[in-house]
Amino acid sequence: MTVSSTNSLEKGQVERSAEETPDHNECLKILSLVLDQEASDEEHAYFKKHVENCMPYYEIYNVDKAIKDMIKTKCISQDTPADLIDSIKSKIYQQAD
Amino acid sequence: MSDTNRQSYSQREKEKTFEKEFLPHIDSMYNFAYRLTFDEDDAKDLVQDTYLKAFRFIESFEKGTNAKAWLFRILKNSFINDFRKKSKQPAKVDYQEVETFYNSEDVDKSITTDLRIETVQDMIGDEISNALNSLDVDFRTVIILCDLEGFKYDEMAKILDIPIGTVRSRLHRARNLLKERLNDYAQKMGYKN
Repeated sequence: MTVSSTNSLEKGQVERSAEETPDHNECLKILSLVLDQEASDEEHAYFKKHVENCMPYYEIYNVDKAIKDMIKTKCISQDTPADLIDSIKSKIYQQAD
Repeated sequence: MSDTNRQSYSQREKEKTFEKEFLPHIDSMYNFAYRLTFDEDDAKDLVQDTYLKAFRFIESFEKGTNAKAWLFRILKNSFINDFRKKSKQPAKVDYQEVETFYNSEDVDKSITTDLRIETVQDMIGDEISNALNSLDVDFRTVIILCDLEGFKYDEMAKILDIPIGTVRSRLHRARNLLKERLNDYAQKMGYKN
């Protein structure tokens, strides 16, 4: 798998696919790109055309988005120990002396 | 990093860069370290090691670039080189399986969990956190970097030393695994799907 083949969709590929029945694999890839704010304009257009009008995929998108939002808001629970910064600073400035 | 990219810092500049660009990320760093090690003392040691290394190699840091990504990369490498060895945990992920995932016919089979948006929103957070913690470390890491810390795919590729295509396929697989765990939990708790 190379970077160039997966990094972004070829423009022609999006346009060609948009004319035909949507490829489920492409839908899934684009769904993730939109979710992670990595989609190009062409990919956004593809998403609007095929994914938003397809109940199963739109449901997947919304579940993924809900989970992403939950992770963002619920998984920062660890309080940094109060003495950590002082400990780091003292070690660094000790080294510098 | 080649010598041509090295910056020349005075001691005062080093300390200023350290305090202004590196220390503000300490909460994210500690949270990441804790979710890798699941131990407060190990997480503290890991973050401390990371910051000491960052200071030692500060001349390799290019001013104006993404300090947070640079620090996360050092922390991830320290974890792999020092902590994973110590904990004697074998690497459990079969990357061949992960990396060929997109090209397989199985891709459609694994997307159809019955998890519904209402079910996810009813969960109180511990379920999400526990499900995330239950994933193998490489899958857990991509979700933390992307969803929790908001890194872009190209930044994640640099932090993890993997191609962007691999970032995407690993993230896709990680999300499916996470959904499977949440779905199992929802069924156990009797949430209606």
